[in-house]
Order: sequence, then structure tokens, then C-alpha cells
Amino acid sequence: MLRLGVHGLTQAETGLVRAYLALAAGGRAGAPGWTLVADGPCDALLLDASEPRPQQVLQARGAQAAALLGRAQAGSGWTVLARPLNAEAFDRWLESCGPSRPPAQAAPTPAVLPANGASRVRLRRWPPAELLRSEAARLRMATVLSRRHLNARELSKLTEQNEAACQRFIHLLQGFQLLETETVDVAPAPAALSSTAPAARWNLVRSIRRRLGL
Amino acid sequence: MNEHKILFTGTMGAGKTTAIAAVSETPPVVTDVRNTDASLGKAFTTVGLDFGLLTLDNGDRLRLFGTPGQVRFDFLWKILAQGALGVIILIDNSRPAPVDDLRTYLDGFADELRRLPCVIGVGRRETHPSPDSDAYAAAAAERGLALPVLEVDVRRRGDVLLLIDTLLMQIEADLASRLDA
Repeated sequence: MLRLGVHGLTQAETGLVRAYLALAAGGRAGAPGWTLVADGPCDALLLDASEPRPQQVLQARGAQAAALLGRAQAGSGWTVLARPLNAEAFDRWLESCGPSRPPAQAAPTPAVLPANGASRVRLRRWPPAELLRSEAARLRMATVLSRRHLNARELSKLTEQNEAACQRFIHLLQGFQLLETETVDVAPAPAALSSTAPAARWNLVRSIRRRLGL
Repeated sequence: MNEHKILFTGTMGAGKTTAIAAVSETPPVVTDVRNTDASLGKAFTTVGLDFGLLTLDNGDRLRLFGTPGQVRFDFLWKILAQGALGVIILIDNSRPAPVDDLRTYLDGFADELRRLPCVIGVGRRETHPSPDSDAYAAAAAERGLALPVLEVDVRRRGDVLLLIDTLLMQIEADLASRLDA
């Protein structure tokens, strides 16, 4: 497991990096895993481009590879990743960092949630606006997760989003450490999430939606 | 015919009447009651309570209640919250301490918010960008609540509908959870 350090990034950007690492953890087979470390020694370092002494920070953290996030002076010799941080560019840079020395012991990246009902998650806190991006689908998924523990399949049924999208969103929320996990022994059958009772309340909600055109 | 209600609460000027007017089929009715309670001495106060109405296709009625915003009327908040479908808390981001305003309503409705769906609508962020929505999320999380925080302009009907839509999504999530119990 390799350690990715961050320096001078905003809380939202740090959360985004954590989310990307969580997503990558379920990605390339055989590729080294990365864990985020806020302080201390690391194998690679992502710094804010406005840092006046990036080389000193790099040396202090003992990193073998580094990139600047933002806009850096031309010819600076640094690898630069543009803001807002793009997942593909970030992934390519991580891949280029590679295991330059034997992986150090570190805490594992957040586990990829299985979509088989073994674990359910619920929001501990409403996500930052940067994560929801005013997208109706994300708002819907977050709203439902704010009320109950769900796995990706159940979330998909309730929100009428495809299961892969729900899984990705859950990973993103994991990266921001916004979820609490409930482990259950037996998952209810998906059909149990369809609306059969209490019928009066379902009818009321539908009636209000019709009335308001929602 | 059954009657249902959604509460709109928040400080004076947060947009409760405007929000209700945006969706009500009738102009909001505002009721002012002068307090003649002698125990308050010379002071008298005015309680404003407004409501709007939506008639549903099955004949039921949905009342949209705007609560009085002053803390001293929090006893009314609890009365109004009985039997409500949910609460929409409107925040005016231009006020001196809007996150504290939110805390006031979260504490005032603390018992109710253990079960009632609730959405926070933050207004005037385009002219007053600070605090951001994450500050409100943090205030709710302090109380163990993960409440939707939406930036809205309640003069826009679409934004008010989004608040109600989000409330309805929470109700739907609760209904689904009862099936698993």
C-alpha cells in the first residue's frame, strides 16, 4: 500500500482525492493501492500550486514523486494537475508514480462496498455542494441516504437510478467519509422495497406530486 | 376529506410567506394576533401565522403553514408540528449569524426532528455567499442530523417545489423502511 500525501488543498479537494482513491481501489487489478495521509511521510505528494516552497515540503514529507494542483509557472519542472482535479488526469499521474520503493505499511483505503446487500450505508452528514454539483440524481440519492441505511441495489430501486451510478455515488460519499455503515446478515428481497403499504401514505405522496407536477 | 400540513419556519424575512405564495392555490392568509396577556406588562406582541392551501385530486387538503419566527413562540412551533408531514427551515444568509439562526430552529424542533422529514433552504447566498452550505450541514450534524441543505430563491416557484420535492423524497424513504421492519 502506497501513501499519497496532500499539502495545502481545501477540505473539499482532499475529500475528492480520497474519493478518487476509493474508486481506484476497485479498479486496475495488480496495480498498487494508495492510501491518503494528511501529514507525515508519504510516497507521493499532491501540493497546492501556490505553495511558495514546494521542494522543501517535498523533502520534509520524504516523497519520491509530487505534483502541483492548480496553475504553476511555465518551465517550473513540476508535474501540474489542473483545477478542478480531474479523475483521469489524477489516475494517470498516480499510475506514473508507481511503487518506486517497497510499499510502506499504512491504513488500507476504504473498502469497496459490495452491492449484494451485505453492507448498508447512511449519510452521517449532508454532502458538500461541490459533491452534489446541483445534479438532480445526486440530490435524490443523498436525500434518500439521509433517512435510512441502504446498499447500492436498494438505492437504485428507490431512486430509479442505475445501480452502477448508485455504487459510484456511494464510493464518492465514502471518500468524503460521510457514511456510516450498517452490516446486516440477511438482505431483504428487492421486491420488499416496492410500495405496497402503508398505502394511504404512498397515495398521499403521489397525490401531492401530481398536484404540484413533481 | 383529510387535511395534511407542511410547516415553513425560519426568521422574519427568510421568505416563509413568499415560499407559500409561490405554490399555494390561494393567496396566503396572514393572521395577526395581538397579545393582550397582562403578565407581559406594557409590552404587546404580534404573532404572524400564515398559511396556504393545495387541494389534492382525492379531495384532501394540504395546508402550508408559516410559523411565527420569533423564538418566544416556539410553543406554537410544537403545536403546529403535530401531525405535520415535514418541516422546511428557511434561512436568510444575509443575517448576521445565520448558522445560529438554524441552530435555533433545530433546537426548537429537536423532538420533532427525530422522526419528521426536514429540509433546510438557504436564501440570499448569491449576494451573501458566506457561510456556505457546508456550515449548515455541520450545524445539523452536531445534532446527529443529516438534513438536506439547498440553496434557494423562494421567489422562484421551481426552488420552492424543489424544497417540497426533497421533503417528499424523505417521506418516501421512510415509507420504504417501514416495509423492512
